[in-house]
Amino acid sequence: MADWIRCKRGVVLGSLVPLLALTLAGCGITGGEVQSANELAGDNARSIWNLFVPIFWLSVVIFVLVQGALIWAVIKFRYKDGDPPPAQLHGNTKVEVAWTIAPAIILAVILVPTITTIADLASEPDDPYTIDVIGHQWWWEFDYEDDGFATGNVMHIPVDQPIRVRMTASDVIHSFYAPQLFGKQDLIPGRETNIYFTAEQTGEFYGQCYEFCGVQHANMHFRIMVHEQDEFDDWVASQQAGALEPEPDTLEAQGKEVFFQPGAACHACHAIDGAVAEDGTEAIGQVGPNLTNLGDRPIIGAGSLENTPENLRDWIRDPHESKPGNEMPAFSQDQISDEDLDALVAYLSSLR
Amino acid sequence: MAQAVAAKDEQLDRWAVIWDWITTSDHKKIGLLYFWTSLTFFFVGGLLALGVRSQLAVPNSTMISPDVYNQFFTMHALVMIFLALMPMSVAFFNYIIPLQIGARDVAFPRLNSFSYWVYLFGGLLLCSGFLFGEAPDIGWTGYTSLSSAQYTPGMSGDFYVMGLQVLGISSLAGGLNFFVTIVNMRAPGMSLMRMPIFVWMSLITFVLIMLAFPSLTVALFALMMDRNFDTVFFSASDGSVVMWQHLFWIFGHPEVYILILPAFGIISEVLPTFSRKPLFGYSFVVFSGIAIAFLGFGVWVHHMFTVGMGPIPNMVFSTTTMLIAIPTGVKILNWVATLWGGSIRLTTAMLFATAFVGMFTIGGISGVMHAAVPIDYWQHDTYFVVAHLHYVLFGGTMFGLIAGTYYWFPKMFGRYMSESIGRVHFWLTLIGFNLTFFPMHFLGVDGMPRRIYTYPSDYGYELWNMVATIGAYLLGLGMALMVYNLIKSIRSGEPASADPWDGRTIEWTTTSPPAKHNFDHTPQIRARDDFWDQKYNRKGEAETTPAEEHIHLPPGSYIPLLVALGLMLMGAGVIFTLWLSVIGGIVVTVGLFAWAFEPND
Repeated sequence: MADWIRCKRGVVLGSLVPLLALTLAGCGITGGEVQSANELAGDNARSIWNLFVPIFWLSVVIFVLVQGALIWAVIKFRYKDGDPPPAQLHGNTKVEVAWTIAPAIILAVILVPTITTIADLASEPDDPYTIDVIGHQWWWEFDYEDDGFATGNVMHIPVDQPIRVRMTASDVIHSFYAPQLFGKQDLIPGRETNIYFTAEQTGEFYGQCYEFCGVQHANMHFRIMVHEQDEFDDWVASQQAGALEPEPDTLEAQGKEVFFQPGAACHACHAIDGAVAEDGTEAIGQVGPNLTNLGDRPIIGAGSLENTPENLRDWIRDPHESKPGNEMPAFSQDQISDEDLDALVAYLSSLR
Repeated sequence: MAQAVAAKDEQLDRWAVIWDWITTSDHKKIGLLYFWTSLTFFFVGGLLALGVRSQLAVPNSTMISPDVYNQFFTMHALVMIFLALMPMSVAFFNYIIPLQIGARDVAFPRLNSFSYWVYLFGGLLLCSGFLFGEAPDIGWTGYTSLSSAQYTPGMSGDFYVMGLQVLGISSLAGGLNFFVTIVNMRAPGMSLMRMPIFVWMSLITFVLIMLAFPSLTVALFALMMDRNFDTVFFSASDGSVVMWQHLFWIFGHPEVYILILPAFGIISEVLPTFSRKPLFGYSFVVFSGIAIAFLGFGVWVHHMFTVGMGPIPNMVFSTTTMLIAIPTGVKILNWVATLWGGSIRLTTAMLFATAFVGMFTIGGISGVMHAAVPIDYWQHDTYFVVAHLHYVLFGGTMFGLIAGTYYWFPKMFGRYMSESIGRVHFWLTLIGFNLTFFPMHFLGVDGMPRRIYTYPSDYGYELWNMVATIGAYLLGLGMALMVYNLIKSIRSGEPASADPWDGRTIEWTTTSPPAKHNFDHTPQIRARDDFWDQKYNRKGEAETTPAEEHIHLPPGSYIPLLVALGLMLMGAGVIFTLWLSVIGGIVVTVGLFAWAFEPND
């Protein structure tokens, strides 16, 4: 059994190499992506990251010390043929007490900023702008109750303005998280949860559902558009005004008729604020997302597809192609002819 | 003619052997049953993981449908936790604990057999969802209201509820049995503080099992009622959706320690043996284990930091969670100190035990990160947590169990496992493991959610997912090599003596493999690490009681299997048709009476 007694030292050292290489590679390549927690654009996310960084470096130090001692011991204290048993050391109370107290101190040091940050993130800022978020399988409803309109999957907010996101869910538990802006909280049926944050820069920010919520949990994305205050005010005004009425005798006008016609009956599930059919039917469906500004959104199907006319066409024909199991039915040629579909897509894309 | 008779005899023999295994109450045989069954389930869980990794290798993959993917990741977790890791620990409880405490069997041998059969049947019940294309697909945590009949209609949720309910009975029976065994059946002279550390960590595990599983039982019962009999325990309007999470995690967090403590125990045997030094700070390791178990019941809310319970509970549970890092850190440092100044032989068992310390440290450190609540607001339900939990459960528990396999294999089979294959197995596993799970930290930083069946191509997730998938296949290869090593070594491994490693504890005093009655003489324990003391301090004078004329061993019985079968039928009845439950109930009742009145000689 001599072969198990010796093992080349290089092999032991080799155990650290892949890990080290991965760590270095990770530090170089991680981050800077659209949904990264270290591309900071909100105060809430920033306090999380600021708490993380010192804990991370502390972890690195502890990691290097422990692994170093471990590997050093394995290399240094190797059995050689004929060695007598080493000293049978059973322990050392002083050492034990020391390394019980040392981690306690380290943890106490971590705990202080942890607790203050918990309190910070939970405290309601002065005069926040409130947006209600309701999680549905598998899309997001954003209600701007104070301003009297609703939208879906793409949230617009003003920069440098404290925001209160007041959340609940209509069916199962979801979780609302845009890593660049704020930390996540769950949306729970029958309960209310809140996130407070202020966006620090304008732009388009990515987020999605983080609590497993069923078959299409993966395609429950959302976007947050951060605008300058005046831009945001314009957007609110346009939402309050409702959808633009298409010019008569255009493709868009024809599309609007298709929207209400029995084969499609989009209005049964979707709302378009201000859109009224010739027979007086209003588009006030509540089952799916509000489509008042659909043409303005970068995504359809809660991020299943990019919002292009071709994708919108494919989506209406068969939403299960890109998002299997979602609640929207497919529409066959019998229900919406190709010609009608072109018109419908033109109409929906014109909604801004 | 003669040939035919011989063939028939052989067949009869084979049936006798099978009957013997079915009815056995020998803790060693039950241990082997647990070992092979859990290893089989480990590969089932591993294949599911490879399915998951294959799907995630590239963005927008359509290889596996979302519905099937959700079954895969859910079943991967359930199989690994309840059917592979826990029972593989139980295999060692069974085989090793009686040997380490100098007992001839466990306290309740038929109950032990019952635990195994309930485990097997419960496992089959849980997995049989695949036969109907309706395996559980709600995550191993089964959160309401997703797991309610409204949002998960059909049988998949019932397979989850009833499968786990049946399996819980096995764990409870086993926990009780081994608790009593350790408390009552130690050899003379083995005081608590002379017990091998594996026995200590196991004892703590059994306390955790007995206290934690009832919470899961209650939660599952309530969910069963909600799903099948229209109660409203977890309804959003009339009950509480979040109550499930409390009940689940009051079980679920101690469950993490149920999974890791036996591995702590194993490597606390392996490290001293191959360092030829006693465990550094025995009593600190024991009491830190107790501290971990105690604190383990006060931290469950750290799985729920994002449900919005308010800042005060989050602060409290953040504190308690960080407290657990203290005893855990003490253990890690004691293991390193055990190696320090030792005379180290790098066997495969030792390699895995040493790697355990390294990998578990990574998992421990990342655990402290999300104990800091605001960081958890980021890391919760991202791949960072997936990385963390695999560093604990694979780099920790599984590495420990593999170390235990290489370490005790000579005792179990009288042969060594191949060290040359073992070495390749080790490096493939270590490299594959780190390639798979280390990049998941980066994915977590980049905000990739867990439990998604696909991801878009413009999020920067491609590289690390591909690396992780390649790592997973390497890891699979490594584990396949272990099975090859097991089979090859059973057939043609180098024969091992009773004490192949210069061991320290008394399981190495008896033959390899041990006789049916374990010890010819009841061992007399004079010291901690008694066998080492005997060899090096007492100069080989083994102290034993006088030879025993009649060693009573419990006879085999088929009744435990019958009762286990009845329990499975009761569970299956809730899934399919209640008539099955009635039949199962009758089988259980009749079986229990037969059990009570079965002659015991």
